[in-house]
Amino acid sequence: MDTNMSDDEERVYVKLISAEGHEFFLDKTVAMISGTIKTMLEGSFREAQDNIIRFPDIAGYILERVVKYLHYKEKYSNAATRIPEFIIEPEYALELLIAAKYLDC
Amino acid sequence: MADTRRRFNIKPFRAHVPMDKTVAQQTWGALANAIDEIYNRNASQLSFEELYRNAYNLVLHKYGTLLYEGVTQKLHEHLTATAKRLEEVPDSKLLEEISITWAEHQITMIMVRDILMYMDRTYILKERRRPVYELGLHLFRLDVWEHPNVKERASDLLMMAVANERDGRLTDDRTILKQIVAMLLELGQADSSNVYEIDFETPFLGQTQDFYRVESLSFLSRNTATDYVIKAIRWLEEEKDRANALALPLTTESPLQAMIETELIDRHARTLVDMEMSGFAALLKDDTKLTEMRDMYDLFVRVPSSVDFLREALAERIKADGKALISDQEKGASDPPAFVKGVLTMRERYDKIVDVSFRGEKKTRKRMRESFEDFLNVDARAASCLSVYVDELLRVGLRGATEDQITQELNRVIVIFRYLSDKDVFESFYKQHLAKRLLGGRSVSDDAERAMVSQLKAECGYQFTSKLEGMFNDMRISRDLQDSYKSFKRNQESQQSGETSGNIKAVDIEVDVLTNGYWPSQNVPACTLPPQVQDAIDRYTKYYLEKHTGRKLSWQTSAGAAELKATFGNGLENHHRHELIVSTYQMCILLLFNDYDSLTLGQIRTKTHIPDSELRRHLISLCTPKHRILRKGSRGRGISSDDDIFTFNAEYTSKLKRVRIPLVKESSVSKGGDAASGPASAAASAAVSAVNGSIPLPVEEDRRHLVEAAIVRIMKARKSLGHNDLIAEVTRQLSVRFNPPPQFVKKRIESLIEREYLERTLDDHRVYNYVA
Repeated sequence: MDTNMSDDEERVYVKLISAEGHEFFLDKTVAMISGTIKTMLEGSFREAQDNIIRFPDIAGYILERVVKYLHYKEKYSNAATRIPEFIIEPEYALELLIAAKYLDC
Repeated sequence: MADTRRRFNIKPFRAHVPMDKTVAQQTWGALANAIDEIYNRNASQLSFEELYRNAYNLVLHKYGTLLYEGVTQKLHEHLTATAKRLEEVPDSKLLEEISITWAEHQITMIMVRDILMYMDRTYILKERRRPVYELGLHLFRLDVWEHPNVKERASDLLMMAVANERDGRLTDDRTILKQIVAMLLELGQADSSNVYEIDFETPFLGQTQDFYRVESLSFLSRNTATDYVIKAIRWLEEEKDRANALALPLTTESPLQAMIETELIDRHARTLVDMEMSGFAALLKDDTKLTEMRDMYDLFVRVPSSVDFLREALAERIKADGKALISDQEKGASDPPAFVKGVLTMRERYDKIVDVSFRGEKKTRKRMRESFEDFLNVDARAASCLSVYVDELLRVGLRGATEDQITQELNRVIVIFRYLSDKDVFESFYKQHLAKRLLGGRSVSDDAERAMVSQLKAECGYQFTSKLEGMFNDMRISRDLQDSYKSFKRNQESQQSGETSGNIKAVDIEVDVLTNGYWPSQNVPACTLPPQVQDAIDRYTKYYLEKHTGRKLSWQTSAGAAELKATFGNGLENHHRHELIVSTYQMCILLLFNDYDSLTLGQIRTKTHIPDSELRRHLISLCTPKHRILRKGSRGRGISSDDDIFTFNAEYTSKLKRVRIPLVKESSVSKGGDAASGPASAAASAAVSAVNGSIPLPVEEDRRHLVEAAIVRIMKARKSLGHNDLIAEVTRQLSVRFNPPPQFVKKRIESLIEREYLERTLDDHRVYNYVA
């Protein structure tokens, strides 16, 4: 599955691939909330050209939660409503922390 | 938060494999290659994530220093190679190449920084080292810019480019210059090295200064001031343009502007003002050069201190013009009204100059006012001229003028009045003129008179004009009295219809009763009046004293006029009658000749008791060629002696039936000059002496009293005051009327001390005490 660009909405999707090979599709804008991903996509490296980013060091379940968080953040930034808590399971907390540091988000 | 009920394990992190040196070296090797590729613009082949991960791992496993040092070394290698390349580039292309290299370097550094972002965030902060991007710039400066071969050539080329532009050879260099300037700015900022200031700003400012210093001098020596002004403004605009185009920072721009202004304006201010023909001082003489002057002003206003030169020039000019007016008046080339008109025109002219050329600047206006005050108050001449001018207006000039015109004229007078510092001199002259106008009925319009007085009141307050208003009052009351006296007389006569008052025919008189304090006093003892006249006077006196008991009337025979019916012709033929309008003294003299055919001067004097100088004047006026009512014995113009004989001239003729016999001017009595030219000047030729700058004696005395009264008043309030303070206070209070010189006040103080109104304190003899 490659990047696709729907013509009517001009939405660009990016693909994030975990260590095990899980592929996650995201809106580009959502993905760019992560500083590292943003830099990757805006630079002139290979990632920017095909909009695919591989993370051979990040496990699938971690990446999954990261993606969830990115959506959560995008939804509730500048929101007027009451913000619900983002739940982090304690057993993943440490790895999630390391990934977060890596990804700057 | 953590759920304590459920026990959990934190999954151990992937077994921490300490990276050993070789692995680290390999990882670094990969990164080093990547940097090379980036330099070769092959970045698109690389995976960002991989490189990022490599850097991350190195830092994580405590090989941060290795990474940092490695990067530094790599960059250094590349930059040295670049510098070498630039060395080979010929001068004409150097700046361009530098610019291109710089742009590429920036892009490269961004990419390198992106990869090494993790290191930036962690290692560098911890170890407090230079961040990657700044590191790149720092190395660029050291390796490329500071390369001896590069820097010198580049600097020279930069300066040359600017110089070329100034000479008018616009080249494409502007964009390149702009980029290089931006580069220097950024380099300086990255490592706080002031590269921009040292390598660009200072030489640039220096070169600019030299350029303008030389150019302005040479231009000024070859062109007129007005041309220079236009050129200077253009230069300033150009420089501003250039600064914008090159995007010079504000820290450069403001000293730049200031420096150019100094060179162009400050240095040459004096020359611009003094230059012949086209300098500011010369332009002032020409009424058509207002816009040129304004342009010069606009230029000078950028350096505020230089506008002083312009103001100086203006003040000088005003002084010169004023002096010219005064000397004209002194030499007699112009009479007082012309002097005043001259001042008025001058004032309007300079007003316009200030409005247009100086854009109505307050300081200049103030300066103008001071200059006018200076030359007008050189002596009391202006005050007396002004009073003569006003007299003329109110006697003749405003005849038939509309109310608006009157107000306008009087406004102009008041404008000059404001400049005077000797206002009391003006007041005393004005009073005298007013008295003559009122008594002689010569005022052109009552409304105009009142308008003038109310303007004066608005300027100086009630006290100033109270006497003048008193004079108006007197005239009004006299007229009422006159009417009631007439009806009284008619009643009396109808009652005594049959009675004759002897062989004395009743004489009609019109009396103006003046309150002593208001009018200018002339204490002259009354002369001997002809019996008929005396009779009428006595009757009026009786009537008046009945109405107002306790008052005293003293008859002013030095003023007044009379109408005589005179018969000429010797007996039968040429029998013609004329009505002569003469002064009181003349009347007394002429009526003597009813009883005598000829008299000597001495006889006339004893019979009439007219004071000698007046007697001579009136006699001469009766024997001038134009009005030879009496024939004089001696030859020549003047009266020779007491024995000079005067005879009634029966052959006198005149074309008019009613003849007004004017008085000769006082000064011409001794010289024996001609009679005054017409009836109108009869009033003017009397009492007021030729206009000179001295202060009349009564005014001088008045001032003494005023100063003393002011001193006593002030001391009474303050009880004790120092010498300087006292003088300041006195001057302030009296400034409405006149400006007392400090010496004058000092003398008054001494006099008061003598009279024990004040005393000096024992310990400090500069302090005075009030003595109750």
